Amino acid sequence: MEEPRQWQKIKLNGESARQIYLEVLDRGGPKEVGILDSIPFEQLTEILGQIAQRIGDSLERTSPSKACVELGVEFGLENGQLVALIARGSGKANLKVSLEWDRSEPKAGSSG
Amino acid sequence: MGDPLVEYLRTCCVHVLGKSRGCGFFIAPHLVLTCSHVVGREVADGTEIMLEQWKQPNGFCPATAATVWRNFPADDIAFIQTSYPNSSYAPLSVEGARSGHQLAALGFPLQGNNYVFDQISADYEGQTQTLQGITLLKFKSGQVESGFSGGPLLNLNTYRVMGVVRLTRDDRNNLGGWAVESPVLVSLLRKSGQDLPETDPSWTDSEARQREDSSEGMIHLTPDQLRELMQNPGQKEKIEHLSLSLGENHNAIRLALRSLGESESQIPDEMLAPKLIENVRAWERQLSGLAILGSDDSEIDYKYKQARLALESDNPEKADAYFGEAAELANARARAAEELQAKAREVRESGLKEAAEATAQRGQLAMARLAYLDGAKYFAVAADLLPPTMEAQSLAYRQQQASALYRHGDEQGDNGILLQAVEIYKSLLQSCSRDLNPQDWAAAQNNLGIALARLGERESSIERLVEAVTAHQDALEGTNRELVPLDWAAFQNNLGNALARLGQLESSTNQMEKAIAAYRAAQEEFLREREPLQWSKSLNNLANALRTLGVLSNDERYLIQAGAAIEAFSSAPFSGVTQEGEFIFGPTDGEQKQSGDDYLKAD
Repeated sequence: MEEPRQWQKIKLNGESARQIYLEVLDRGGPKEVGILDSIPFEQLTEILGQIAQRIGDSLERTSPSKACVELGVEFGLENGQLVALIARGSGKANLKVSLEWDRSEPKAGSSG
Repeated sequence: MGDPLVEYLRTCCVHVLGKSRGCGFFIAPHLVLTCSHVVGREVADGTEIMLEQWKQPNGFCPATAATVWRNFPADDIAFIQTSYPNSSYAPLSVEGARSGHQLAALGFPLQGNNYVFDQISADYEGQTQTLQGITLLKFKSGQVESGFSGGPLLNLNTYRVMGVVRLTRDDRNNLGGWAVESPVLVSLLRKSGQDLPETDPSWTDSEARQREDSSEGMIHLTPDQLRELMQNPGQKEKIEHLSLSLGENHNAIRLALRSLGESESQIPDEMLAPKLIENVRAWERQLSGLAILGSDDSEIDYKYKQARLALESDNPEKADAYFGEAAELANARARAAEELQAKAREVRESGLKEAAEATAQRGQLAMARLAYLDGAKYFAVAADLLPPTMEAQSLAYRQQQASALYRHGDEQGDNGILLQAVEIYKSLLQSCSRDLNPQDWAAAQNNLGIALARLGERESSIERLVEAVTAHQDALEGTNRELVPLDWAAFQNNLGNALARLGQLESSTNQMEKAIAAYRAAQEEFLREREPLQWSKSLNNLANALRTLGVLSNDERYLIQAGAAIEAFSSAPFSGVTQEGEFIFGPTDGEQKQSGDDYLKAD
C-alpha cells in the first residue's frame, strides 16, 4: 500500500509585500535535516520557464496549427533546492497534449 | 531529570540561523561546529551569521552575530567563530565506540510553528562508506527530524561526541540517520591550523556524575544477585541481560564476573555495580586489543591465537601462559638477532680494518715516493675508515698523516701545510690520555714542538717558538729517562733546537744558554760508543749553539768551548765547516745543512 503523501509549506521570497507559500512534496527517505523556511521566488519562475521553453521548442518542430498542453507539476526539495516533478494532472496521464493541423484545400474556380 | 552529560551538552548548543536552520555546538570557548548546509554551502569564509542560544524557561535569547570561520561544503562541515566565549564546550572522539552503544543527539526541530530544543536517542551501528570516498557514521532507532542538522551526537558509553548529525534515513520514522564522524572534524580543524582544546573541566565533572548514574541504571540486579552471578558466571540469561544493558559482549562480561568473583566478598554492595562495569570495560579493551594482535613470526602468532581462544573460553590463566610462551619466543628471536648483529659487526670491523691497512700501505708507498701530500691523504682515509672500537690504530694513522704533512711543509716550505700538521698534533693530544699512554702523549708533544718550531722559524714568530719550547718541556716531563733514555735525549736535543732558534730570533744569550744546557743533557745519553750518529748530530747542534752564544756575548770562552766540541766532532764521519764558519754534519759538499736536526717520534 502506498504511503500517504506529505506536503510541506515553504515561503517564497520575493519583492512583493505579500507572503506567498508553495506546497512542496515531501517524498520521505534520506535527506539533510536543516530547516529551509524560504526559497527565492526566482527558483519557481526559472523552473516553470524552463519547462515551457523545452515543450514549446519540441512542438515547434512538428508545426501544428494549434497546440494545447496540459501538465501537472509538483515541486519538491532536494538539498535545499527546488525541483519539479511532472506529476499526474487531470485524468491518468501526467502530460496531455492536443495538436491540430489545418489541412483545408483551396476552393475550385466556377466555369463560365 | 535526564542524563547529567546530556544536560551539560545542552549548554554547549546554539541555534544556527544560516541558509537553513539547524543546530551547532561549541567545541572550544570561541568555536561552534555545524553543518555546511546549515550555514549555506556557497557561503564564503568570513561571512556574518546569527546564532541563538536557548535558555530555560524562556527559550531563545536574542540572536548574536558571529563569523563563518571555515566552510567545508564537500565534507558538509562549517566552523563558526564567536566573539563571546561560551564556558561549556564538548570533547570530540570516536575512541572506544562499539556497535550497539547508546547515543543521544540534540537539535532544534519545529513543533507546529515553533522551534523546540529536542533530544533523540539512537544506537550506534557503524560506518557507511560512499562511492565518493566519504565515510559517515550510521545510527539507528532515533527519529531524526529536520532541525537536527549540525547537532552533536553523544556516545553515552564513551561520554564523547562522536559526530555531527547530517542526514536522516526518513524524518517520519525512527530509522536513525548519518553523522559526520569526529575524526573528520578534528582533521578539518587541524587543516585550518587549530587543535582541539583540553577537555572542559565541567564536562569531566558531568561525565563523572553520568558514570555514577549509568552504573546504577544499567545493571538491574540486586547486590545479592550480582554476588551470586559472580560466583556462578554461567547463567546465560543474566549474562544476556547484562550484555544488553552494558552494550558489551558476553565474553567480556563473563571474564569480569570471574575476576570479581575471586574478591567479591571484599567489595561493598554499593561498589559492586561500578566495579563490574569498570572491569567489563577493561576486559572489552583487552579483547579488542587482542583481536588485532598479530606477529610476522608464525610461532608467536600461533601463541596469540591460542591466547585468544583461551580468553574466549573464559580461561585467563591459560591465556597468560600462552602470552608467556609468546614472550619467550620473541625474546629468543631478539637474542638470535643480537648474535647475528654481533657477527655482522665483527665482519664489518674486520673488513674496515683491512681496508684501512691497505689504504695505509698506499700512504707508505706515497711517502717512499716522497709524495707526502698523497701519503697524508691516504693516512687520513685509513684513520676515518676505522670504527670507534679501533681508536688506537686510528690515532696512529692520524699521527702518520700529521708527520706526512710536516714533511711536506718542512721540505716544500709550505707554512699552510705545516699549520695543518700542528692542528692535527693538537687534536691528537686531546684524544690521547697522558696517564694511559704517557709515551704516545710525549711523542705527540715532541712532534707538535718540532712543527711549531719550524713554523716559528719560518714566520720569525716568537709566539710559536715559545709554544714549541713549552711542548718540548711537556714531552720531557712525560718521559721517564731511565725507561727510555734515547727518547729523553732526543727530546732534550729538540728542546735545545727550539731554544736556540728562539735565542737567535731574540738575540738572547739567556735562551742560548738554556739551549746549550739541553744539548749537553742530550749528550749524556747519546754516547759516542753507543749512538755515534745521534752523538755527532747533537754535538753539531751544541757546537753551533756555543759559537752563536760566543758571538752574541762576545765571550771567547764559548768560542773555546765550541772549539773543543769541534775537536771531538772532527772524528765524526762526513763532517766539516762551511764557508760561513757553521759546523756541518753530512755530505762534505755542505749543501744539506743539518744544523738543528730534530728527532721526529713514532713515524
